[in-house]
Amino acid sequence: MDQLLDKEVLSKSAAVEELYDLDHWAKETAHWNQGIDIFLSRYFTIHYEPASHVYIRQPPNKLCILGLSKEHAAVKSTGNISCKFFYESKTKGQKVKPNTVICEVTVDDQTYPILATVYGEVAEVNPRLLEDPNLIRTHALDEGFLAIIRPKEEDSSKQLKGLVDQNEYDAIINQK
Amino acid sequence: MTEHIDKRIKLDDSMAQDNSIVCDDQDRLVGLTDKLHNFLKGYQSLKCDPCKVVSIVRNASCCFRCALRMLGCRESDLYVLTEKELIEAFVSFDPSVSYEPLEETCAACVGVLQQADTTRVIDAVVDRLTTEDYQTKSYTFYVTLPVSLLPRNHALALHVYNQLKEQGLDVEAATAVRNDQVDAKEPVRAVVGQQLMNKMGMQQSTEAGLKMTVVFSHPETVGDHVFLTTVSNPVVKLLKQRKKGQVFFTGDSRNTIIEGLKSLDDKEAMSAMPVPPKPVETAFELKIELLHESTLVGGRYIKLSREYSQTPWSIRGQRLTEFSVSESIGEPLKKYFKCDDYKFVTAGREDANVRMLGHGRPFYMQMVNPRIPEVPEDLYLKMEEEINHSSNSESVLVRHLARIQPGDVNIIKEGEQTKRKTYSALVWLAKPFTDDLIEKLNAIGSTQFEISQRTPIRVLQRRAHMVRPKQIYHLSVQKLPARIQGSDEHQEAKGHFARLIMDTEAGTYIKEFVHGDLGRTNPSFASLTGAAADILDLDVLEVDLVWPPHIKTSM
Repeated sequence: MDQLLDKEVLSKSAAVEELYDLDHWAKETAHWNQGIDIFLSRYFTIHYEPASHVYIRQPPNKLCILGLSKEHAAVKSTGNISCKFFYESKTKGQKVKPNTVICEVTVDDQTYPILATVYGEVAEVNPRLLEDPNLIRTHALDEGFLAIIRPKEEDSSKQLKGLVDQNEYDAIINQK
Repeated sequence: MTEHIDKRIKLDDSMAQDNSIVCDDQDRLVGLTDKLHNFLKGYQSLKCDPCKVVSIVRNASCCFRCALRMLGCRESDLYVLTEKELIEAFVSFDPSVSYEPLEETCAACVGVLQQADTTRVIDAVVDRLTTEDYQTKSYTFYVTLPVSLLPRNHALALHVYNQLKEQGLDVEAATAVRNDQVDAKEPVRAVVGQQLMNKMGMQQSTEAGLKMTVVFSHPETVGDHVFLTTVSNPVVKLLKQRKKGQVFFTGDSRNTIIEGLKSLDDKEAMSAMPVPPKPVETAFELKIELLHESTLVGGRYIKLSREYSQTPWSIRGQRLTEFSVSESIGEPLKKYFKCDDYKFVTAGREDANVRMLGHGRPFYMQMVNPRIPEVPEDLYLKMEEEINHSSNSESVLVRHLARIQPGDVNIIKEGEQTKRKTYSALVWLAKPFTDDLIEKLNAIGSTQFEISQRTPIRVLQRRAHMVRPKQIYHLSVQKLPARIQGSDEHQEAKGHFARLIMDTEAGTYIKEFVHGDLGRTNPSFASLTGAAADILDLDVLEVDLVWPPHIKTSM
């Protein structure tokens, strides 16, 4: 091992450590502050069930992260909020159908049943909601998600049949 | 005469240590004949007249080497003698008996042992060795004999037993002779070994790097053992199976056949199989495989590019990245070892878009089936320089290239589990990085703290759902230096960037620590700052592992 040549190699490695392409990243991220969703779209696509105001986020591996959109009555409400799950986080999850009630969100005395919306197995229910159910309101679109469902169907177009994308959802909302 | 002496000197150079064969041909023959006579004398005093056994074997159309096997001879070098030489030795032992050399194929070994030193076998092996041209003088010899030798040996032994009894020998003595039979494997090994020593100076050994496998098969007799399925209380049962549309039979492994023959009583054997074994009409076939054990080359690599994957990466036949670290190192090395292929093994891995900086990541390259298994010490430096000055050197560099022993590779595997790593990341924050914020983060990061990570969403579809505590040994945040700020554009956006340097426990998911994975990593960089955060670029700065293991300054 030649000391001099090794020094050359190590200095090449050290020289690039701080080199990040800030111009490129500044352009990419300039509009991220316009909304929480924007940087999340790097990792997930988002789909909405317009009638129940449930959203499903999908990462590339097709898991379904289910939550309540900002239009959901529970999210818009004020008052005492709590959440009761009918399923547990398991590696081999329990099977659900689109009309299975996976949890109930209660605000004061109003109870909202939340449907699974897709076919699959319940992989995870958000444990933080037991201690801090208010996340459903403050972080509806990210940390306040309700559950993660492992889909039955690999093909998204089948799995997410009936759901609409952001633009369509916004249009539907604005019509009301 | 001079030629004779020269030949002697040449053989001397390539001589083996323990299986020493005397170099002069005449001396050799005399020595072996004496040895055989001693063996036969011993046999005569302990058992019976060996020539009786040999006559029975010969009359059953079996060769002299198989006769030696029937005598339970375990002296490998005696099998090297040719049929003629063996006949002469037996005649000189007991001139009252005479033998004819066997003209046809031996019914016991279907010709394999009988013709193991003929050009058909030896030239095939020599040609392969010459073509492959392994730079080595020793080899380990693996041989598989035709399966029909199992029932045929059994039939020969039974025949000898019957004949000896008929000739007046008592049951005990006849049984002793029958049970003395030696398997043909070691004799074949010895015969081929002698030839390869003579022709190529190659030394047979039990633990050489070069593994030579010769498989002898004999299609004509491939069903000789099938009768075992029809005896009373069969041990061998054939099962018809289907695999990938092809029908084949199982249940007749060698061990099963051996057991079947063991439990076969003699009366049934006499009616169920030919005793002695039936002569054959066709020749055996042979297949030769040569494989040298891999040479291991270890070192550390540095990856400066965000476009190189670790190994060639393709989906459905299409390459996803043009280049890989594996090829950048393996291709230049390949030619020095003249190997078939290389396997790249690393202590952990990084994604294609992650750089590997600092002192580099430990790895070893397995050079598969090298024709040149050992290269000179100074060549390692030359190979290292070649890689570091190649067209890939803007992206991949290597350090400390050295020979690695098979025992060393455990260090790499263990390192994956237990070693800590240092990372550098370009991060974005939803609010600007003020000096106050940076100070606060550095204060938190200056002491070790624990985070809790649920299995990241991006791997949750294939990994168990778990909560893993991980140690963050150290964390610091720096503003990016002026020299890399680039143009004046988007200055506001650039205020949201910082460099995060972290020293973490092995197995920590860095990306998830930065953005929090929808709150499933706690605390996260995002939660510590009180705003949304994301990771833009990631680099591995250090992999804490001493590698290669024998170098003085190995980092």
